[in-house]
Amino acid sequence: MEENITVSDAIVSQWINAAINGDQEAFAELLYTFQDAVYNLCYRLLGERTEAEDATQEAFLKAYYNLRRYDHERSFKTWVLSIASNHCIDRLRKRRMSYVSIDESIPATLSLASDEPEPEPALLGNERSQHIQDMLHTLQPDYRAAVVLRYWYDYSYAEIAEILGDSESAIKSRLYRARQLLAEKMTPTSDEDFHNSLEERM
Amino acid sequence: MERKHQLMQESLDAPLSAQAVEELTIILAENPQSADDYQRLQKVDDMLSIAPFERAPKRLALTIMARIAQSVSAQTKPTSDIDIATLQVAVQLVTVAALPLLVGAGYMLLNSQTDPESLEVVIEQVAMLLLMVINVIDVMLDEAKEIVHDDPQTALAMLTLLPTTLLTMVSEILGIHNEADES
Repeated sequence: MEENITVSDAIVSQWINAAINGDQEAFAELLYTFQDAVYNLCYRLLGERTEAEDATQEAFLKAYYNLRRYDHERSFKTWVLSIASNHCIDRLRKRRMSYVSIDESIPATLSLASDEPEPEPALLGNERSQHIQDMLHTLQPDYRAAVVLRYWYDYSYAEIAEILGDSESAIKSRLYRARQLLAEKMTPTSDEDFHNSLEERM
Repeated sequence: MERKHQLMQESLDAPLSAQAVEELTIILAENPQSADDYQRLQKVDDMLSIAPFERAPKRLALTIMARIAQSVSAQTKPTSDIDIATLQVAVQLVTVAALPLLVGAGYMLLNSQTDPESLEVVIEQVAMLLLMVINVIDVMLDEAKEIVHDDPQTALAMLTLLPTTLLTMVSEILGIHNEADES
């Protein structure tokens, strides 16, 4: 789950106002504060690091150019995640239209390497992360978005509905269905193997 | 949704009431398949609950800020006096180059009236020539517009090349026609 960010709403509001008035450093503060949240969402939805980086860039650029339209009554994080999720879902739909299977997982070795170091614990985390990613990729984009926002961001149904622009009941049934689909795909053997391999390494 | 499924799902989101827990316990005890389904759902929930959070690469914020800076600078880049002067010269040169073409076209039309048989051919040639000239101007102006923000000097240089390009093109076409006529 996401680490808590300890920036108050008042400070975020100040940064937004300054950024609207052309202060790029203020926007950089917003960027540093929320980039992990946006990147993780893009990565979980798109399943590929390079594409997630690109989508994160696009989401923040859209946010920058639409800052004047931002409603200060809303949470900035919810707003920027909403931009990012819509962008990613659009990408996934276009990908589908161009006949590239969204179920196809891209081997980690083929994706461009991140500049983050990969010590042993990180490798273990990557393995777990990839296993979850493979499971997520069996879901259609809007189901996947609901699952990611629920589990990685701990958002309520109402908040997820606001981000994805849907009704609360629709989100609830989408999440229920997504869990069921994942449960059907989770064979006891493969799951136990996965946990055993983790335990052995730990 | 079936009651048992509803209870299973709700138990994953929040603690159930004592009554609901009792109801679910009975359902699971009576139906081994439901118990198995519930176990799988719990496994999914456990797996997702401990899912690692992916952090953005360090360079990402810098890349985004660079893109914003570049885009803002392109939008606010002032056009210098020299650029404006060069642009005016380029437009004048285009006009100077286009005028003789128009005059020549008019002259050909007028002369061809003495020979009605060739009138159709001349009109066709003049129309083709003018169309090509307009197309070339259009394409070069479009390209100049595209690059004018990033590289105004090159865009203006393209405009200043317009007259030469047009004259070369027209002389090539006329040359080809003359050769064809002679043969």
